[in-house]
Amino acid sequence: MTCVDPIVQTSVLFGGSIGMAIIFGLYIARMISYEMRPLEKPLARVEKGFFRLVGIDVNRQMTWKEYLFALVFTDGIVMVFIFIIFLIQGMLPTATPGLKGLSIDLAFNTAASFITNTDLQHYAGDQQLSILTQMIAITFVMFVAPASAMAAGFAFIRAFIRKNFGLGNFYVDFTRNILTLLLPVSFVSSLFLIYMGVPQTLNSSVTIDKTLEGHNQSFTIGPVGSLESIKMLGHNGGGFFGANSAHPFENPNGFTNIYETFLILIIPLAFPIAYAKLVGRGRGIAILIAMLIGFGIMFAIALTAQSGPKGLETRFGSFGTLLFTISSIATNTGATNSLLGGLSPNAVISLFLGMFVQAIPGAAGVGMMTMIVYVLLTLFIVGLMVGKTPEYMSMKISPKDIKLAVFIFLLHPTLILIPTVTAFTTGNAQGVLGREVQGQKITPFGYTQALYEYTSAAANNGSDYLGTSANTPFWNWSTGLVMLLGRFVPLGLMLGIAGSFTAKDRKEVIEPIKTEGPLFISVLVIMTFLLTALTFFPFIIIGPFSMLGS
Amino acid sequence: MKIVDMIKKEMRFDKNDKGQNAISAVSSNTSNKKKPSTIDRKVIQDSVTKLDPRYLAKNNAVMFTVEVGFIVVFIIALFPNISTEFVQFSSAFYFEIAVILIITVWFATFSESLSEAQARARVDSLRSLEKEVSARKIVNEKEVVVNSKSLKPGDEVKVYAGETIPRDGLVIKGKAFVDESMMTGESNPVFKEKDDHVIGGTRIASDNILVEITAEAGRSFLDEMVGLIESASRPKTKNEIALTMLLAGLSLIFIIVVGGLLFLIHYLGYSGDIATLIALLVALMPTTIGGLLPAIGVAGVTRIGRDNIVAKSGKGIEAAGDCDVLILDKTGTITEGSRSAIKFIPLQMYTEQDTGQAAFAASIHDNTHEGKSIIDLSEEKRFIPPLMEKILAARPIEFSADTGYSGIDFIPAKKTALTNEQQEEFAFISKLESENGNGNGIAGADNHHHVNCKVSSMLLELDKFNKEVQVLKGSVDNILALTRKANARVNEAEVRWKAQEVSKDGGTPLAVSINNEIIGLVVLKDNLKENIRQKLDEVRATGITTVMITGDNKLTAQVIAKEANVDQVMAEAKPTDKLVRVQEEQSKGHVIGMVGDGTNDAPALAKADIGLAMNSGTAAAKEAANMVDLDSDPSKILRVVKLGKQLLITRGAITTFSIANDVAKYFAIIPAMIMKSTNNAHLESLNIMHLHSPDTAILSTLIFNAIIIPALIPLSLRGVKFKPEPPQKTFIRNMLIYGLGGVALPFVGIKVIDLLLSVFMR
Amino acid sequence: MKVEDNDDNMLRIARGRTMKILEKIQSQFTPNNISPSIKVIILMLIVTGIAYPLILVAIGQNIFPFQSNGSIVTFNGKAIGSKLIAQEFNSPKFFHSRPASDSASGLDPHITPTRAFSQISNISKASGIPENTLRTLVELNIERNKNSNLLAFAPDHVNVLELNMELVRQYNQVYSDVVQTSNNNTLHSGR
Repeated sequence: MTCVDPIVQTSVLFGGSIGMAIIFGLYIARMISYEMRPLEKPLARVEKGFFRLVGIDVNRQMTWKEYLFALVFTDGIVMVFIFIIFLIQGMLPTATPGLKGLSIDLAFNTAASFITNTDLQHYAGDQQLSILTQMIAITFVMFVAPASAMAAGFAFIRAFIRKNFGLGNFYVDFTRNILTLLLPVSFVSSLFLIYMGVPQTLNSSVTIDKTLEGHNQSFTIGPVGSLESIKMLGHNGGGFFGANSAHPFENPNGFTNIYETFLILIIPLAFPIAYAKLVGRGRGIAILIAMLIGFGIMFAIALTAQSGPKGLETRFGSFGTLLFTISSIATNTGATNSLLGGLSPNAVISLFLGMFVQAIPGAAGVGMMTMIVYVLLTLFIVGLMVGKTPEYMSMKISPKDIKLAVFIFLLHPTLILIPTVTAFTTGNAQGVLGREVQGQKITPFGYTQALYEYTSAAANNGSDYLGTSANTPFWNWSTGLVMLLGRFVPLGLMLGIAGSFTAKDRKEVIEPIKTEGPLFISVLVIMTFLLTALTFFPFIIIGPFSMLGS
Repeated sequence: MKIVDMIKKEMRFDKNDKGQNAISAVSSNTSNKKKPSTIDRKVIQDSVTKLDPRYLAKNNAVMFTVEVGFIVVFIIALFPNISTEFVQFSSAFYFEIAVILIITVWFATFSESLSEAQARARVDSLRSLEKEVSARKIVNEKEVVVNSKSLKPGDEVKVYAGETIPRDGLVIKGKAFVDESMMTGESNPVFKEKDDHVIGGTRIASDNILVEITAEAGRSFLDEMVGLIESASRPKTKNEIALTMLLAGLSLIFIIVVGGLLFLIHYLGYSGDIATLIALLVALMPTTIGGLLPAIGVAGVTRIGRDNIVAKSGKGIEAAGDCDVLILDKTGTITEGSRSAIKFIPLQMYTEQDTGQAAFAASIHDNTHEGKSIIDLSEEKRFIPPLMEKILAARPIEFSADTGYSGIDFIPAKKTALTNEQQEEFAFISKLESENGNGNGIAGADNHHHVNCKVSSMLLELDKFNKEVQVLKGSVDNILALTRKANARVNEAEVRWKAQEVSKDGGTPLAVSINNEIIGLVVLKDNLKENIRQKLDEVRATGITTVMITGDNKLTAQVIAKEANVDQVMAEAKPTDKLVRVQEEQSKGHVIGMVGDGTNDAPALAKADIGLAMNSGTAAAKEAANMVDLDSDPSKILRVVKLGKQLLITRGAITTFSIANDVAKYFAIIPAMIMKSTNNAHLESLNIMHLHSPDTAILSTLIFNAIIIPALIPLSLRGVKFKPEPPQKTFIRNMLIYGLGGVALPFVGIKVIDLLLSVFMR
Repeated sequence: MKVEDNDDNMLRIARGRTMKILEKIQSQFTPNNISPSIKVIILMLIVTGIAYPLILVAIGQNIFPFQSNGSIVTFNGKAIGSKLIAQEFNSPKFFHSRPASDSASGLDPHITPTRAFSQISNISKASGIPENTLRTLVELNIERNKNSNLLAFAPDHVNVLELNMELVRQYNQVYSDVVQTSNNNTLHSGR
């Protein structure tokens, strides 16, 4: 029985999410290429109303720079808006008396965290945010952040399918992503989750005068259902409650656990399917399989050691916890249904791996783009090895593309290691690690926590060990900055690559090494892991790897 | 005829052997010098100069970093008391590390110097062609012997047979044969007269000319070529730039990694020894490819130079690797430059002998290879026409593009006066006749042995009546047109049918007529170049499509294409079709390689991605192409393609190898770094190599890292072996050798070095 | 590449480039660019931040009022807690949840069957309820949880609150001293 359950869970989860990803992928492909979607007429009517209200010229195409600017500018305004809301939430109507605004550094951190799709939480949502803030700041930005990233992904893919036509219109993509994809799916999913036991109310707390044994009990509640679905679907991961998806109100039972995992996986897996539809079935499927292999490797590493039961929720068990957590970290959702401290060091290593690679399958849009950057680097080596100027889909990979790609891969370790070093040398890490600091020495576990914090921030993941204990100015400002850089710099560089590719000549020439099939997939997977492993090997060794023996 | 040929052949041999020696009048000829030993003092000197950090900072970031590491470790070795936290080993250990580091850098600069020396040697050998020679400058209408160096444009020099033309110039007086073989590879002396251009360094074979110097010193054709070779090694190609970026990025990543370790590691209770960390950094950085990258690029140009091809830039060579369509001229590339007669096909009324005799007569003044081959075939078959003396003395009808035929025209009664040469030939042919007892000789009127031969009797009869005789050969269409014009009787259908049969077999038919009566057809057949089929098969195996361009008709072209195994044929092509085809293929995304020599090839050569011009070709062609083959062998483009691929593969292979090495290096150094200060049993499991001690682990890793550079110098100079096969196969093989091998080899190498070191360091 | 040979040059170029980029960014701040951004944001805020959660609240409160309000279970007409949230049990007659710090949320009322079975003998001693009965009740609870998770989607576990409520319902005499409510009242569960 114990053996059957995991098999059933895994097959239902992957069967379901891949099946759904195919439907969504085909739909996304139509969004990318502006083809007729199912229900085109009503959808178009709704959209048109919006476009008219906003004053968007649907046919206006943007260059990569315009697209990037529109994205950064829109996200920037939202960030400023939610930053202000966090500061002044106590003064807004409907706030519970006594509720204060967040401190400036925490407000900055939280605003940066949510707009970058990271959702690193140095606050406890159930204690520090009002219901209104949870709605107009948190839930709202949970739509904005993934819609922006997906839009960037659309623009990126367009660069490969059409020449010098522009990369699309950010406002159109952004609006369509929310109105015709995220919102309807979230709506239905919320209803399901509410049915399963997730609360949806405007009350902020429930007080029980007398429990069964006669104690006084009170707990926080609120519009959790509406937040929970978009939290998963949009790879946000920021919980309504501090306990995130471990909280019974966010994730009431084993079935919601699988359903939430399913929501996490749909869109990242749909992107390669859309890609398959647009640039060739084999190519997209190769990327999908490479992602799944990477995911499988993560999962296999995590399963090599027993996690829990301490720190895990009984209703999910060890397997359900890992399934949820690995999926969530691999997609940079960052939601957790357990304490990270409850996971085995092996599982933690696999979480690091997911955040280092960022593309197995990675967050919506971003994961796909990152994977294609890996593809470009792989093809560069492959091209040299067969004696041809490297090309992808018969588009030559120029030194500029390699430069941008190298920057992307250089940025990640920089954003992780420099702040980690700073945190330790300034004593700020020691300040929050508590008993993991033994005199001058820090335990591998303590070091792992600090490294994890910045890795999560740089990868826009959002899971963390430290939680509210990292609510200090240093950690708030530093992780906030890392999240912003980790989000918008790679996004800019990737759109730069898109801009470079959209200008390239594309012709039907046979590729020397097909960018599909087992050979290519295995080379891609090896390259991806090798690049990552070579960069982070020593840090894993002195961190989670050492936790095992100590 | 044959004798002239033989004499010419003799001359050719002579020239090939001694030609180069003959050029230089003043200084000794270095081209015959023994190959310079590859490692000479200059290389060593140069490689040491290149250790200058400023040079490295500019040109080789990876090696610069290693050198900075050397300086840091060296300072620590001198002052080991600087720090207790970051300095944990004995002073001797730091000296050892420092020495290994600087040797690593030197290995890299040495490989670069070595490859440059090879390139220089190639330049020098070319330079030796143009030397200071003495020249007879005309001053006040007198010849004054001066050094060629002092000549300026506008000077006039007189050059006699056997002397070397001092510099590029224009003939202003006189006619002469000039031997340009050392420049162009073309063995026949070239006839030059007034207003012809002559090249400095070439030699007058006969007669003398007055030359006006047009080039300034150092600006001659040769100098331009030398300049090309020298500059070819300088600008980086796109792939090189991209690879440099990747390597720089990897290096920066590792600098951040090691920097991170430097600051973090002691918080976890490990010793952050600075030399260990520098060793880790140097080991991780792609020093192997970083050290060898300059050498690989230069070696590519040198290797192509060794094939006697001058590349105007490294770009062209690299583009050659990308080439996937090769447009090849049939003539000269796939087939020998000329066709040979292989068969005579008579028309119904005539015999083979008739056709042969008529063809012989028509070709007697045809100096082309085709003409000679007809004579050879006739002689071989003993189809010698009568009236040889008269035929030899007949008026030649030169081939022209308008008429499309050539032949002879003689009025038999006219008194014949043979030149010396013709007499020699006449004697030779007579001898041939008599030797074979084929008759009583052809001279004189006694010719009855020809009676059963219709053409013989026809000629004799015409001679008898003192009628004009015109023997012509030409393309079937042209000759037919001629007969039609003259209203001569002809079975046109038969001619055409027979011509078509010839075409079907890949031959080219020529019609032969006497006084507008067609006697028969001569079948000319293209001679495929030696091994061309095998070469083209190799090209196809690498996924390159070959296109043959020819003016031949479709039938003939297809037969040859099939014989040579060419993929596509462009028959009945006009010269301008080449450019059209190049553009067409490029618009489909193909990378085109082509060969050309004519001025009308120039646009196509310029447009093609790899344009290889024949040195025997026109200046325009050479200008337009990005490579010039000094040997004027069109099939060399295949070598260029192979070389281009090799160049990229070598870079890719060594990069992969370099990166793959890091795996083992981590497993050598990380345990050395942390094992000392921990008793964590789980970490012990990392020490899979069981090296002797942390000291030997670090030293052996660095030693391995250093010696792998010189070990791979031969590979980078020679290039990774390239087999003609599908790219997939190449990739898998190279991945196994350089990827998997790159992972495995350092495990073995470091372990072996460690074992050796442990003997000394016990 | 040639230009990059010179460090000074590189710096100058880098500076020049940065200035150019800044200028370019500045030039992007035109009403044409800014107004759609702001309008889109305002619209989305209304749709996703206000309308979406409120509509769901409306639907949830009407169709799934029990779940929407936190799955509050009532006893004797009075709410005694959420069936999803653990509550404090001090009496030895009750099954006990895990210590709060042992689980991730600290709020889950669930324990493993092993843990439940291991408590049986003590509870039996304290309450006088036969061990067999307790075992049966635990097994029933496991079965119930299993069914509500479609058999395969959760490991076997016990909901301590529901189990204890069941105990009170069946043995209200035994628990009359602990549960300070009238014995006559029955225990309701919302569903």
